[in-house]
Amino acid sequence: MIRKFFIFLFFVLCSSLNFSAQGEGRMDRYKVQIDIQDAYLSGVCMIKDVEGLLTVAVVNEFGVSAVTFRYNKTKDKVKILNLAAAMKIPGVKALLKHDLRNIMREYCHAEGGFKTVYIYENPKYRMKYNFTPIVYEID
Amino acid sequence: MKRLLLFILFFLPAAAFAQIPAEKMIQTISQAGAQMQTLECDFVQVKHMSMLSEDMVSYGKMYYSQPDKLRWEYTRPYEYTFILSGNQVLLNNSNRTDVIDVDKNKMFKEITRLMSSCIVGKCLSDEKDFKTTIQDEGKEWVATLIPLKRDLRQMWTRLVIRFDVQNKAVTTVKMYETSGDCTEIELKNIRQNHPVKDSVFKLD
Repeated sequence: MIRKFFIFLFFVLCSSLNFSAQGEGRMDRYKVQIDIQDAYLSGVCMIKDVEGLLTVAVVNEFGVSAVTFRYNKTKDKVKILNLAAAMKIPGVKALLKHDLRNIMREYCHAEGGFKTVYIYENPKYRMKYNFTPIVYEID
Repeated sequence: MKRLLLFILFFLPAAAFAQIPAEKMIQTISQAGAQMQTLECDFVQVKHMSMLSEDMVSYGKMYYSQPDKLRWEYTRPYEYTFILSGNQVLLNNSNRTDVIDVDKNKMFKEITRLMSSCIVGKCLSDEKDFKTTIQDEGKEWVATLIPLKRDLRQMWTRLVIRFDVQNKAVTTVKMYETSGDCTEIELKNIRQNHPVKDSVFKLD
Protein backbone atom coordinates (compact mmCIF):
# COMPACT_ATOMS: atom_id res chain seq x y z
CA MET A 1 0.00 0.00 0.00
CA ILE A 2 2.78 2.43 1.02
CA ARG A 3 4.77 1.44 -2.09
CA LYS A 4 1.75 2.24 -4.27
CA PHE A 5 1.36 5.57 -2.52
CA PHE A 6 5.00 6.49 -3.16
CA ILE A 7 4.74 5.46 -6.83
CA PHE A 8 1.63 7.67 -7.10
CA LEU A 9 3.44 10.53 -5.35
CA PHE A 10 6.43 10.12 -7.67
CA PHE A 11 4.20 10.44 -10.79
CA VAL A 12 2.36 13.43 -9.37
CA LEU A 13 5.66 15.18 -8.61
CA CYS A 14 7.07 14.34 -12.05
CA SER A 15 4.00 15.67 -13.84
CA SER A 16 3.99 18.85 -11.78
CA LEU A 17 7.69 19.43 -12.50
CA ASN A 18 7.05 18.93 -16.20
CA PHE A 19 4.12 21.36 -16.07
CA SER A 20 6.22 24.01 -14.41
CA ALA A 21 8.95 23.64 -17.05
CA GLN A 22 6.39 24.25 -19.78
CA GLY A 23 5.45 27.49 -18.14
CA GLU A 24 8.98 28.62 -17.44
CA GLY A 25 10.65 28.70 -20.85
CA ARG A 26 12.30 31.87 -22.11
CA MET A 27 10.07 34.74 -23.27
CA ASP A 28 11.40 37.38 -25.65
CA ARG A 29 9.55 40.51 -26.72
CA TYR A 30 10.15 42.56 -29.86
CA LYS A 31 8.69 45.63 -31.44
CA VAL A 32 7.68 44.38 -34.88
CA GLN A 33 6.82 46.05 -38.15
CA ILE A 34 5.73 44.11 -41.22
CA ASP A 35 5.72 46.18 -44.40
CA ILE A 36 3.51 44.65 -47.06
CA GLN A 37 4.03 46.60 -50.28
CA ASP A 38 2.41 49.99 -49.50
CA ALA A 39 0.71 48.93 -46.28
CA TYR A 40 2.16 47.91 -42.94
CA LEU A 41 1.32 46.24 -39.69
CA SER A 42 3.09 47.19 -36.48
CA GLY A 43 2.93 45.96 -32.92
CA VAL A 44 4.60 43.60 -30.52
CA CYS A 45 5.91 40.09 -31.07
CA MET A 46 6.18 37.73 -28.12
CA ILE A 47 8.21 34.54 -28.45
CA LYS A 48 8.04 31.83 -25.83
CA ASP A 49 10.62 29.06 -26.21
CA VAL A 50 9.98 25.91 -24.25
CA GLU A 51 12.52 23.22 -25.11
CA GLY A 52 12.59 23.94 -28.83
CA LEU A 53 8.86 24.46 -29.24
CA LEU A 54 8.30 28.15 -29.89
CA THR A 55 4.92 29.80 -29.41
CA VAL A 56 4.78 33.19 -31.11
CA ALA A 57 2.12 35.90 -30.96
CA VAL A 58 2.03 39.13 -32.94
CA VAL A 59 -0.42 41.73 -31.63
CA ASN A 60 -0.88 45.34 -32.69
CA GLU A 61 -0.17 48.17 -30.24
CA PHE A 62 -3.80 48.22 -29.10
CA GLY A 63 -3.57 44.53 -28.20
CA VAL A 64 -5.54 43.07 -31.13
CA SER A 65 -4.08 39.73 -32.22
CA ALA A 66 -2.74 39.59 -35.77
CA VAL A 67 -1.19 36.13 -35.90
CA THR A 68 -0.36 33.35 -33.46
CA PHE A 69 1.77 30.41 -34.50
CA ARG A 70 4.01 27.58 -33.29
CA TYR A 71 7.45 26.75 -34.61
CA ASN A 72 8.94 23.33 -34.00
CA LYS A 73 12.70 23.73 -34.05
CA THR A 74 13.42 20.02 -34.60
CA LYS A 75 10.94 19.62 -37.45
CA ASP A 76 11.58 23.16 -38.81
CA LYS A 77 7.84 23.57 -39.19
CA VAL A 78 5.43 26.48 -38.65
CA LYS A 79 1.81 25.91 -37.70
CA ILE A 80 -0.48 28.95 -37.84
CA LEU A 81 -2.86 28.77 -34.88
CA ASN A 82 -4.78 31.99 -35.32
CA LEU A 83 -4.93 34.65 -38.00
CA ALA A 84 -6.83 37.95 -37.85
CA ALA A 85 -9.91 38.04 -40.09
CA ALA A 86 -8.42 40.91 -42.09
CA MET A 87 -5.43 38.72 -42.95
CA LYS A 88 -7.44 35.71 -44.11
CA ILE A 89 -6.75 36.41 -47.77
CA PRO A 90 -5.92 33.59 -50.22
CA GLY A 91 -2.17 33.04 -50.31
CA VAL A 92 -1.36 35.11 -47.22
CA LYS A 93 -1.26 32.13 -44.85
CA ALA A 94 1.19 30.20 -47.09
CA LEU A 95 3.32 33.30 -47.58
CA LEU A 96 3.43 33.97 -43.83
CA LYS A 97 4.30 30.33 -43.08
CA HIS A 98 7.21 30.53 -45.51
CA ASP A 99 8.59 33.82 -44.17
CA LEU A 100 7.98 33.05 -40.49
CA ARG A 101 9.77 29.71 -40.84
CA ASN A 102 12.86 31.47 -42.20
CA ILE A 103 12.68 34.11 -39.45
CA MET A 104 12.28 31.51 -36.69
CA ARG A 105 15.17 29.51 -38.11
CA GLU A 106 17.35 32.61 -37.78
CA TYR A 107 15.96 33.32 -34.32
CA CYS A 108 16.93 29.83 -33.12
CA HIS A 109 20.30 30.07 -34.88
CA ALA A 110 21.09 33.29 -32.98
CA GLU A 111 21.71 31.89 -29.49
CA GLY A 112 19.33 33.58 -27.06
CA GLY A 113 17.20 35.21 -29.77
CA PHE A 114 17.77 38.45 -31.68
CA LYS A 115 19.87 40.77 -29.55
CA THR A 116 19.79 43.69 -31.99
CA VAL A 117 17.48 44.80 -34.83
CA TYR A 118 16.75 41.93 -37.19
CA ILE A 119 15.38 42.54 -40.68
CA TYR A 120 14.05 39.88 -43.04
CA GLU A 121 13.01 40.73 -46.59
CA ASN A 122 10.95 38.81 -49.10
CA PRO A 123 11.70 40.73 -52.33
CA LYS A 124 9.31 38.65 -54.45
CA TYR A 125 6.28 39.99 -52.56
CA ARG A 126 7.92 43.25 -51.42
CA MET A 127 7.59 42.27 -47.77
CA LYS A 128 9.88 43.40 -44.98
CA TYR A 129 9.87 42.26 -41.36
CA ASN A 130 11.61 44.34 -38.72
CA PHE A 131 12.21 43.04 -35.17
CA THR A 132 13.59 45.37 -32.49
CA PRO A 133 14.23 43.98 -28.97
CA ILE A 134 12.10 45.49 -26.22
CA VAL A 135 13.37 46.17 -22.73
CA TYR A 136 10.46 44.88 -20.70
CA GLU A 137 9.78 45.90 -17.10
CA ILE A 138 6.52 45.67 -15.16
CA ASP A 139 5.69 48.12 -12.35
CA MET B 1 -45.57 44.83 16.10
CA LYS B 2 -43.92 41.48 15.47
CA ARG B 3 -45.40 41.46 11.97
CA LEU B 4 -44.01 44.91 11.32
CA LEU B 5 -40.54 43.84 12.42
CA LEU B 6 -40.74 40.78 10.20
CA PHE B 7 -41.82 42.99 7.30
CA ILE B 8 -38.83 45.31 7.86
CA LEU B 9 -36.45 42.37 8.22
CA PHE B 10 -37.52 40.87 4.89
CA PHE B 11 -37.97 43.98 2.80
CA LEU B 12 -35.33 46.39 4.09
CA PRO B 13 -32.35 44.49 2.64
CA ALA B 14 -34.15 44.20 -0.68
CA ALA B 15 -34.79 47.94 -0.71
CA ALA B 16 -31.18 48.67 0.26
CA PHE B 17 -29.84 46.66 -2.68
CA ALA B 18 -32.49 47.75 -5.14
CA GLN B 19 -31.08 47.83 -8.65
CA ILE B 20 -31.11 51.06 -10.62
CA PRO B 21 -32.93 50.41 -13.92
CA ALA B 22 -30.56 49.84 -16.84
CA GLU B 23 -32.08 52.68 -18.86
CA LYS B 24 -31.45 55.06 -15.97
CA MET B 25 -27.80 54.00 -15.67
CA ILE B 26 -27.20 54.40 -19.43
CA GLN B 27 -28.91 57.78 -19.42
CA THR B 28 -26.85 58.95 -16.43
CA ILE B 29 -23.58 57.85 -18.08
CA SER B 30 -24.53 59.54 -21.38
CA GLN B 31 -25.37 62.78 -19.56
CA ALA B 32 -22.06 62.70 -17.66
CA GLY B 33 -20.23 62.02 -20.94
CA ALA B 34 -21.93 64.95 -22.64
CA GLN B 35 -20.88 67.26 -19.79
CA MET B 36 -17.27 66.09 -19.93
CA GLN B 37 -15.25 68.61 -21.92
CA THR B 38 -11.80 67.10 -21.42
CA LEU B 39 -10.31 63.94 -20.01
CA GLU B 40 -6.72 63.16 -19.15
CA CYS B 41 -5.41 59.94 -17.62
CA ASP B 42 -2.71 57.29 -17.49
CA PHE B 43 -3.53 53.79 -18.63
CA VAL B 44 -2.25 50.27 -18.20
CA GLN B 45 -3.01 47.79 -20.96
CA VAL B 46 -2.73 44.08 -20.21
CA LYS B 47 -2.93 41.55 -23.01
CA HIS B 48 -3.82 38.06 -21.76
CA MET B 49 -3.04 35.28 -24.22
CA SER B 50 -4.16 31.71 -23.70
CA MET B 51 -1.19 30.36 -25.70
CA LEU B 52 1.38 32.21 -23.61
CA SER B 53 1.70 31.96 -19.85
CA GLU B 54 2.85 35.59 -19.46
CA ASP B 55 0.85 38.76 -20.14
CA MET B 56 2.03 41.71 -22.18
CA VAL B 57 1.74 44.91 -20.15
CA SER B 58 1.96 48.36 -21.79
CA TYR B 59 1.70 51.81 -20.21
CA GLY B 60 0.64 55.12 -21.64
CA LYS B 61 -1.27 58.39 -21.44
CA MET B 62 -4.58 59.45 -22.89
CA TYR B 63 -5.99 62.93 -23.60
CA TYR B 64 -9.47 63.65 -24.89
CA SER B 65 -11.19 66.89 -25.77
CA GLN B 66 -14.77 67.18 -26.98
CA PRO B 67 -15.94 66.56 -29.61
CA ASP B 68 -13.28 64.90 -31.74
CA LYS B 69 -9.77 65.21 -30.31
CA LEU B 70 -8.01 62.21 -28.85
CA ARG B 71 -4.40 61.36 -28.09
CA TRP B 72 -3.69 57.74 -27.18
CA GLU B 73 0.00 57.37 -26.46
CA TYR B 74 1.97 54.28 -25.42
CA THR B 75 5.12 55.21 -23.54
CA ARG B 76 6.41 51.84 -22.26
CA PRO B 77 7.77 49.32 -23.21
CA TYR B 78 7.32 50.70 -26.73
CA GLU B 79 6.48 54.15 -28.07
CA TYR B 80 3.44 54.54 -30.26
CA THR B 81 1.14 57.52 -30.67
CA PHE B 82 -2.35 57.69 -32.11
CA ILE B 83 -3.81 61.19 -32.48
CA LEU B 84 -7.28 61.93 -33.75
CA SER B 85 -7.92 65.55 -34.57
CA GLY B 86 -11.10 66.29 -36.49
CA ASN B 87 -11.06 64.17 -39.61
CA GLN B 88 -7.36 63.32 -39.47
CA VAL B 89 -5.47 60.59 -37.68
CA LEU B 90 -1.75 60.49 -36.98
CA LEU B 91 0.00 57.18 -36.34
CA ASN B 92 3.54 57.40 -35.10
CA ASN B 93 5.96 54.67 -34.12
CA SER B 94 9.73 54.62 -33.91
CA ASN B 95 10.05 53.78 -37.62
CA ARG B 96 7.43 55.91 -39.36
CA THR B 97 4.71 58.53 -39.14
CA ASP B 98 1.48 58.40 -41.14
CA VAL B 99 -1.34 60.91 -41.36
CA ILE B 100 -4.62 59.46 -42.57
CA ASP B 101 -7.70 61.29 -43.76
CA VAL B 102 -10.49 59.53 -41.87
CA ASP B 103 -13.09 60.54 -44.47
CA LYS B 104 -11.15 58.62 -47.10
CA ASN B 105 -10.61 55.52 -45.00
CA LYS B 106 -13.74 53.70 -43.91
CA MET B 107 -11.93 51.44 -41.43
CA PHE B 108 -10.29 54.34 -39.59
CA LYS B 109 -13.54 56.25 -39.59
CA GLU B 110 -15.14 53.32 -37.76
CA ILE B 111 -12.22 52.92 -35.32
CA THR B 112 -12.12 56.59 -34.37
CA ARG B 113 -15.89 56.80 -34.06
CA LEU B 114 -15.89 53.79 -31.74
CA MET B 115 -13.00 55.05 -29.59
CA SER B 116 -14.63 58.43 -29.08
CA SER B 117 -18.06 56.97 -28.37
CA CYS B 118 -16.62 54.52 -25.78
CA ILE B 119 -14.79 57.31 -23.92
CA VAL B 120 -17.94 59.38 -23.46
CA GLY B 121 -20.20 56.36 -22.97
CA LYS B 122 -22.20 56.98 -26.15
CA CYS B 123 -21.56 53.40 -27.26
CA LEU B 124 -23.97 52.13 -24.57
CA SER B 125 -26.95 53.58 -26.38
CA ASP B 126 -25.62 52.78 -29.85
CA GLU B 127 -28.07 50.09 -30.91
CA LYS B 128 -26.56 49.72 -34.38
CA ASP B 129 -23.16 48.60 -33.09
CA PHE B 130 -23.88 46.77 -29.86
CA LYS B 131 -26.46 44.93 -27.83
CA THR B 132 -25.90 46.37 -24.37
CA THR B 133 -26.69 45.09 -20.90
CA ILE B 134 -25.66 46.93 -17.74
CA GLN B 135 -25.48 45.90 -14.10
CA ASP B 136 -25.16 47.76 -10.84
CA GLU B 137 -22.31 46.20 -8.86
CA GLY B 138 -22.24 48.66 -6.00
CA LYS B 139 -19.19 50.87 -6.56
CA GLU B 140 -19.22 50.19 -10.28
CA TRP B 141 -21.69 49.93 -13.12
CA VAL B 142 -20.67 47.17 -15.49
CA ALA B 143 -21.79 47.31 -19.11
CA THR B 144 -21.45 44.33 -21.44
CA LEU B 145 -21.54 45.15 -25.13
CA ILE B 146 -22.07 42.41 -27.71
CA PRO B 147 -20.98 43.55 -31.19
CA LEU B 148 -23.66 43.37 -33.83
CA LYS B 149 -21.76 44.44 -36.95
CA ARG B 150 -19.83 41.76 -38.85
CA ASP B 151 -16.51 43.68 -38.78
CA LEU B 152 -16.66 44.06 -35.02
CA ARG B 153 -17.89 40.49 -34.46
CA GLN B 154 -14.82 39.19 -36.32
CA MET B 155 -12.60 40.87 -33.73
CA TRP B 156 -14.45 40.73 -30.44
CA THR B 157 -17.07 38.53 -28.84
CA ARG B 158 -17.83 41.16 -26.21
CA LEU B 159 -16.58 44.32 -24.53
CA VAL B 160 -16.99 44.87 -20.80
CA ILE B 161 -16.81 48.50 -19.69
CA ARG B 162 -16.71 49.42 -16.00
CA PHE B 163 -17.88 52.86 -14.86
CA ASP B 164 -17.16 54.50 -11.53
CA VAL B 165 -20.52 55.17 -9.87
CA GLN B 166 -19.34 58.46 -8.33
CA ASN B 167 -18.09 60.30 -11.42
CA LYS B 168 -19.68 58.04 -14.09
CA ALA B 169 -16.34 57.80 -15.90
CA VAL B 170 -14.89 54.69 -17.53
CA THR B 171 -12.38 52.92 -15.28
CA THR B 172 -11.72 49.69 -17.19
CA VAL B 173 -12.39 48.33 -20.66
CA LYS B 174 -11.98 44.61 -21.28
CA MET B 175 -12.13 43.36 -24.85
CA TYR B 176 -12.69 39.64 -25.43
CA GLU B 177 -11.45 38.37 -28.78
CA THR B 178 -12.90 35.54 -30.84
CA SER B 179 -9.64 33.60 -30.28
CA GLY B 180 -10.28 33.49 -26.53
CA ASP B 181 -7.62 36.10 -25.73
CA CYS B 182 -8.50 39.38 -24.09
CA THR B 183 -7.10 42.87 -23.58
CA GLU B 184 -7.81 44.89 -20.46
CA ILE B 185 -7.24 48.63 -20.32
CA GLU B 186 -7.36 50.28 -16.92
CA LEU B 187 -7.58 54.07 -16.73
CA LYS B 188 -5.75 55.64 -13.80
CA ASN B 189 -5.22 59.14 -12.36
CA ILE B 190 -8.30 60.39 -14.23
CA ARG B 191 -8.64 64.17 -14.49
CA GLN B 192 -11.86 65.49 -15.96
CA ASN B 193 -12.51 68.98 -17.28
CA HIS B 194 -8.99 70.23 -16.67
CA PRO B 195 -7.48 72.35 -19.46
CA VAL B 196 -5.63 70.19 -22.01
CA LYS B 197 -3.05 71.95 -24.18
CA ASP B 198 -3.98 72.03 -27.87
CA SER B 199 -0.41 71.02 -28.72
CA VAL B 200 -1.04 67.45 -27.53
CA PHE B 201 -3.42 67.00 -30.47
CA LYS B 202 -1.04 68.50 -33.03
CA LEU B 203 -0.47 66.30 -36.06
CA ASP B 204 3.27 66.70 -36.55
